[in-house]
Amino acid sequence: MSGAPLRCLVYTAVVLLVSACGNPPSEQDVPAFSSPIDALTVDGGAKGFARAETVREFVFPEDHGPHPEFLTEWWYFTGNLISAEGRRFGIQWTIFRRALAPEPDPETPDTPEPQSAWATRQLYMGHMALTDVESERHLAAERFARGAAGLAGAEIRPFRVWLEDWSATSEGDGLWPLTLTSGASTKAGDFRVELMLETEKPMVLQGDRGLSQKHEGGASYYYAFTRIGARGHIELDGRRFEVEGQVWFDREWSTSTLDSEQSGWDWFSLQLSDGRELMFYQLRQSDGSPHPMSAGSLIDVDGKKIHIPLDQAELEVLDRWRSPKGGSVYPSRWRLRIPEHGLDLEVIPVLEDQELEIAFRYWEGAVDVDGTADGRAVQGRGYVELVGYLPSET
Amino acid sequence: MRDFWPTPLLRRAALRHLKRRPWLAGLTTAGVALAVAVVVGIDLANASAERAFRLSVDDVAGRATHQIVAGPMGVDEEVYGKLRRSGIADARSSAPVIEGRGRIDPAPDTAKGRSVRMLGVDPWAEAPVRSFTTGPAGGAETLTGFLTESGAVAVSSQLAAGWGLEKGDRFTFAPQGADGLQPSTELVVIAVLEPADERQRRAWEDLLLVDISTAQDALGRHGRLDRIDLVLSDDGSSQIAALLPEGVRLRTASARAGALEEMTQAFRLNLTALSMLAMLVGMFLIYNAMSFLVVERRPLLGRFRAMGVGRRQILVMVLFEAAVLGVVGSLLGLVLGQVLARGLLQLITQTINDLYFVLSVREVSRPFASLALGSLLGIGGAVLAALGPALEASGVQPQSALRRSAIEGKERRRAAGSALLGLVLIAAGGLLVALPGRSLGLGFAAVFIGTLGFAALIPLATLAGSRLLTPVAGRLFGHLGRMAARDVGAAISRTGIAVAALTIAVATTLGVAIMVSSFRATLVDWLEITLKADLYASPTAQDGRGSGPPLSPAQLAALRGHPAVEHVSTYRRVETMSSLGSVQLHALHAEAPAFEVFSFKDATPADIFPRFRAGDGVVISEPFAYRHGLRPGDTFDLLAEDQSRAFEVLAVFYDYASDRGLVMIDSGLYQQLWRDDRIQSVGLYLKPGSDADRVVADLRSRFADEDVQIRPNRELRRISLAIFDRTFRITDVLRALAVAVAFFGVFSALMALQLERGRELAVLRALGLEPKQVRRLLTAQNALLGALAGVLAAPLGVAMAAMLVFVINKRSFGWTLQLTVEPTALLQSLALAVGSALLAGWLPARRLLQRNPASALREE
Repeated sequence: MSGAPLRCLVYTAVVLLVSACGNPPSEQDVPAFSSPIDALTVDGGAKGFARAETVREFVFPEDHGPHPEFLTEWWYFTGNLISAEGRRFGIQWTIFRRALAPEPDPETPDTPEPQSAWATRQLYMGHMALTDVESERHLAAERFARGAAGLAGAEIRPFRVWLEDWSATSEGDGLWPLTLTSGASTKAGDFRVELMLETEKPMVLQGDRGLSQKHEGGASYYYAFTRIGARGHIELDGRRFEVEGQVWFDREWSTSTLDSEQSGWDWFSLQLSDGRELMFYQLRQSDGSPHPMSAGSLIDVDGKKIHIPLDQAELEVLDRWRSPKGGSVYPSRWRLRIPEHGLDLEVIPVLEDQELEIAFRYWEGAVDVDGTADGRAVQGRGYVELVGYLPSET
Repeated sequence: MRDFWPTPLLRRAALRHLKRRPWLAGLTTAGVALAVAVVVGIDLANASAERAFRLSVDDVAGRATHQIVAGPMGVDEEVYGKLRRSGIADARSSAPVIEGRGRIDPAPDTAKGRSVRMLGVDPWAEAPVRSFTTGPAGGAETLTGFLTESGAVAVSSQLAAGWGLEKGDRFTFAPQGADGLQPSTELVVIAVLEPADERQRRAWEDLLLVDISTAQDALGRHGRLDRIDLVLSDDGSSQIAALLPEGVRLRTASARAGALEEMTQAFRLNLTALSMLAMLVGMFLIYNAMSFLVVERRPLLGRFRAMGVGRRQILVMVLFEAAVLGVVGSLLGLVLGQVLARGLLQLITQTINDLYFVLSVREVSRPFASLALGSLLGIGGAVLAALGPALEASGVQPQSALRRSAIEGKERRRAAGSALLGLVLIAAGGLLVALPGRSLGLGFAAVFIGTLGFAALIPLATLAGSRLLTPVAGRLFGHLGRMAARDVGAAISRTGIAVAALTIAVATTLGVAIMVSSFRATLVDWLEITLKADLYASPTAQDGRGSGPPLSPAQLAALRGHPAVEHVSTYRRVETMSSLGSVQLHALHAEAPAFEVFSFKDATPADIFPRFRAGDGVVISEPFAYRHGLRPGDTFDLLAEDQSRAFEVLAVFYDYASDRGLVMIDSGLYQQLWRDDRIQSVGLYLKPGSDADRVVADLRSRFADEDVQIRPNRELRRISLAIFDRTFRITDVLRALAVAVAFFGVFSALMALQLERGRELAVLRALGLEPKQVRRLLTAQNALLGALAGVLAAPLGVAMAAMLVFVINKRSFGWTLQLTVEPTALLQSLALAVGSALLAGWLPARRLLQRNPASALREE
């Protein structure tokens, strides 16, 4: 699972722009500062940005920090937590960076350099969500801020990514331990989360040595930490819960957008009780069939990665759920089989309604896993992301 | 009650009477109209300025309930980041703001530029606080364009229409300082804002909306915000207040508007008072016209009385006539007033801009209250002014009414009574002034009562003048001269009022003129003392809040290091918070000789200097001391960068630069407490024998490529006086208006007088007097009336000036001025009085002479 909603936004924008051309523009005045999400739909094309085209050497800690020469990137944490009294929570912590225009070429500055600390072309967007299984609630919030004047940004030494009071902060030169904070006042309630993270497994370079191909001519740089120990607390409606659990961290940056044939994806990140993790994404084409570049990876107990091409996986939707808010119909339970590696898993959302009701609507939620590995019973927990199910898009 | 209301016949008689005297009715109406127009015009202009000011404050505050503000430097932008990172829920509805003014020049070679308001915001933070709308398909591009396009600006549709600006057009913006413009920035239009309603349409008239980064660059305000607007709950405000560093305050959004409005209150009250003086003159005019209408009809009224018409009916009939004139005059006055308001508005905004803060108003608003007030004054004034004559008319005895001489005889007796009343009124006015307290309203009341009292003296003075002059005129001009002089006294019921109206009008102009020239003379003296340094240097751009660019250390060193420079004074002017509200703080570094620029109340610079330099306290200007009731030895708190500290007042100095007053502090102490070592301007004292002009040329070439202005002290004096003159231009207009109203008064009074004397003149003609001689007689009489008014206006004018200078001005602004009466001003007012009397008398005289004496004789 990855920060794909952003790319879908761009895709959505293309759809909207195309449809707008067919209709005369409305005569009504519009807000000068329309929803910030609209800003992202002004896609000046990818001209002037670096592209993920070849396998590269990753350099740390620099690569934990921002890559403004690329159009977009994200820091994406998801995790399943349990409180001392046994209360189950899911958490999503995501910050996206998006360049509104390429950075000026330092060789040939086009116009007088802005002196103001507020000047920037980098926009940051955050999505934070908490799933409270016991009260069947999903609390979500989004924010936007410019990557300047201390409002939002990403730094390398020590590592820090933040958007206002949402932050992921390291202390020394290394990434771990990492402190994660989020919180928001939402319609469904108020929450604050503070977690201390320490990875349990080494980093994985996804795709081909970190180059993850999404379609012909479209790829991203992608690494992940697939099993991270977490401990901390959650404040919910004035109550404090001491929690612990496991978190997954995805890092991805790119300039490519979705292929015009691709309409969305289903993304799985599962942590199994036998010590392995499974990542699998199925990119859907306009006709509903999986795009051939859909793929996944299986991480073994020692952190070794095994590539799973599309033809080794079988994904079957067992149930569907209709969102009462947007009318989207999302798949809601799956059977995922990878016979090559003896996996036969049922993936069940801990709560049907984990749709993020924000400017850009999608489903991202905690799931349970139940099934067999080489015939032996296996359980697990994870997160699933479902994008491209808006009624207008189908 | 039946005999109370005049019968239809009487009402018709009244109206027909007005119709038969079209000149008189017309003049009276015109006088009422002019008086109402002055009152309404000033009131509308005042109200429009205030409304425009409110709108600009409201619009910019948006839905904000609170604002975070700080001292002279504005709010450190870090505060905003800290707020946003705090996690306090309410901190999320906060928006940073930078505001500034400047001029735009779409095509530098064409037309003159226009003053505009630049509003810098963070579009990502605006939603909770303000909404801006653009035409279709503007939203997303505006949002991203603000960050990605250098110099991106959204302009209001009015601005776009006015300048023919379209999306993609480029123009330059030069920020405005108190005495110059900063280097300009090129801006590009990325969107045109469409106001959602009338209120926004007016508030956005001159709006340039830009990203906060563009505003910081264009206005040269890096690292700082003017304020942070917030929409807060009660809980939120206490949480946020607790978060703010020392020196940064959270205040309610309405507090700002109130503070600014208070600044201009005295100024606006003064304008209103001047308009009331015009109204007073107008009321004399009505009184005059109505008296004539009554006097002239005495025979008719006597016949009515003989026929059994009740006194009350006569009374109401005369009042009815007055009301008709009042209504017509008021309606005309309302129309005229709106035209007048347009012109006055510009003058008022100019003054407010020069003295207080930048305000741009282009539309006259028409609050109902202003119009209602004008009509009420016009109609009420007419009826009130007619009350005397109406009572007089109703008191007419059936037989005696037939005798013209009866009234004049009575009138002469009454002149003495009136004079007595006048003395009482003058004494009452004096008493009002003597009352302790600082009420401006009481001060004005005293001026009015005193003026009325003086007016009541005029009939007696006119009689005396006539009696005194009769033999003199006889000796000088023979028979006709004697006749002219005696007639002035004989027709006292006419002439007394004409002279009173003219006297008051001329005295008003004289009083205001003396006040302005006293003010100017005081200012000239003060500038002479204060601008003592040979040269002054400052960056080209200084904005009013003192946040303009400072002189760089290299520039300072170059100025100090010039071989001809003996020592320098440095200045830094900022706005800071204190226990007494927002105050202007000047940080001064001066050597002992330069400290002589101060003239202290009850102290010498030599006494004060060591203590000031040691940082023992501050010195404050006279208006500041007056406003806050401070004396040497008192203390008050100033909010320094991170702490509030008590300062002792060492002395009070005379200063005419600001009616709000200012506080002067030693720059060493200021730099230490405010952590601000910027210098905005320096005064250079040259070594004896240096050639100032050569040093100016020297320094100007040294700073040829930098934004540093070098000015000799005489140039600064000239600029200061130019601003002063511009500020007081409005008083010239008001004086002219008062004279115009008075002119109508004199015109109608003389018209009445001469119409009435038609028969008498016809007799003179029949006795063999040449038309030329009659004209000479009339001219002499008019000149005499004018001269009487001119002479009487001198003491009244000087008294009014004294009141304005020592009472009104002191109470409004706290300034001590020296009263300077120039003989030329007195001569001018005499010439004005005689000139307007001659001019006003010319037309009636001509009409009179054109009439056939025979038909005039037959008339009765």
